Amino acid sequence: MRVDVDMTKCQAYGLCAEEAPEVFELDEWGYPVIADHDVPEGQGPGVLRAVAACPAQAIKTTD
Amino acid sequence: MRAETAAGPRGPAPTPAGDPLQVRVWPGLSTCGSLLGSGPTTTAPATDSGQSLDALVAVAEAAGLRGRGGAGFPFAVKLRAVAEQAARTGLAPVVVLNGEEGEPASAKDRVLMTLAPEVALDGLRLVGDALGAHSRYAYVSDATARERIAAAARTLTPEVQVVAAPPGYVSGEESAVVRWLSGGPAKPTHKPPRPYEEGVQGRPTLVSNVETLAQLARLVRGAPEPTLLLTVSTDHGRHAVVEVPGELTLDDVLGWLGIEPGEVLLGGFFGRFASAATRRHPLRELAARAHPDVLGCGIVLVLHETCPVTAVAQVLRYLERENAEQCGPCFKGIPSMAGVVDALTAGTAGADDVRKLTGWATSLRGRGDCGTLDAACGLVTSLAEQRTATVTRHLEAPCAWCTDHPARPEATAFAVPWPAEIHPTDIQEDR
Ligand SMILES: Cc1cc2nc3c(=O)[nH]c(=O)nc-3n(C[C@H](O)[C@H](O)[C@H](O)COP(=O)(O)O)c2cc1C
Ligand code: SF4
Repeated sequence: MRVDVDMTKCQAYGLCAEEAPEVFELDEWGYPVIADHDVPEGQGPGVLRAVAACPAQAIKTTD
Repeated sequence: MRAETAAGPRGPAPTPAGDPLQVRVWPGLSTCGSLLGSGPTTTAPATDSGQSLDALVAVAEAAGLRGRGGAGFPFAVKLRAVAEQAARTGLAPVVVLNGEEGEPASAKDRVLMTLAPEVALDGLRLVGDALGAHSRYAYVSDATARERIAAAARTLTPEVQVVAAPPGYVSGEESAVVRWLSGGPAKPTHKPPRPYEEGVQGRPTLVSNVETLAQLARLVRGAPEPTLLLTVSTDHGRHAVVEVPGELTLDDVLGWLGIEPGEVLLGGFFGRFASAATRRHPLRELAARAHPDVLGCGIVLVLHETCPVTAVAQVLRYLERENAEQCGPCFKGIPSMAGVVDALTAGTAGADDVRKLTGWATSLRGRGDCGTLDAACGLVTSLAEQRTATVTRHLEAPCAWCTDHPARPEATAFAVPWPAEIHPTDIQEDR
């Protein structure tokens, strides 16, 4: 699975970093930085929780 | 070809601010035909329809035609990508002539649309026909240029819809173009999908810069290789749009125009400070991205006096105002970088601030959904890496030039005077 954030939609709620801290790291303004767009083994469930939690619906996953 | 063969004198005196925009064509181009001047490839009647896609791709490939809107992407690759996506999806594509020219320091697209709208529209017709386009647009914000394109389209290509684009720095970015033509705001969208995958109304869409399309038409009419349109401005108020062959160097062009070499910001707001080696490089290689300093959309800013730090501050303040305010890293990051560069101009920045600045210029790269943030990061990096001594001096003591010329946030940095009165008879075709 690959993950990506639509930065035109992201509002820096930061919930992604709570759900999957290994995948989403927040920069000094609260916007996510994704170290590896290929979701590492075991991180899938956290990423899917982040997708569901993001109020801006800014997180996209592809197979 | 050497600059010495040109007629123009090497003028020493800087021209006063507010000179009218000059249009000049390199001597000799009239024999094979220029876009802005005369000659067989300009005045030849429009090419027959029925250039197959393969034939167009072959012409573009053989001549090494690259996009002239800034990114320098190979045109043949883009054309094929749109055709393949159309075949895959079964959706007839959309073709768009991008004549927005949002960058204030560029005027070459507006000059081209004013002087040779027929050639540009012929390029759009060629790609539209070869792709079996569903619909065709010319997207132009400048009223003068749009009127010229619309008038030519009425007789030559009535199937083209001439659309008033909203003026703005980001509205010429290809996904903003697609969004506007699909009924939304002219603001960039997240990629993927790129326009060739999913563009106007979901159709595969070819968005090409107006010069790129005009160059294609010129090649189909028999020209051996693309020329290059440049917008050359100096901080002494001189502005020229020139058409030159790709074998020239920047120093050749400046010598021909009688502009003393100075600090050169190449590529405009997406650009970098040019090194001496870059200035001696054939422009066609800079256009083909075969060199780290790239030509971009052909903006050449010559700074005789302006301190590069103030120049960067000026551009960052412009980008701060003109970004689409969609992506946090862009609308937070650009003002933060601008703040440090402003402090440098005021002589109040410390080494830690500069470290922070260069850190942002690296970490923010690629984190906006269009290139605006990358433009800001690139300029900052260029300043820090290529003008390190200048930056260091600003840490030690306030710079006299910066102190006397504070960057004004309301100023549109390096704007070319427009609308300009240009008539075909005014063009200097030096021989
Ligand atoms: C912020 C931004 C602004 C842009 N503005 C323009 C523009 O005004 N005109 C243009 O032709 N291309 C502009 N571009 C480039 C387009 O996105 C696109 O690459 C180009 O129109 C494609 O045509 P080309 O391949 O013929 O260059 C801009 C890009 C960015 C990132
Ligand atoms: S990078 Fe800046 S200008 Fe580009 S879409 Fe994001 S906010 Fe808008």
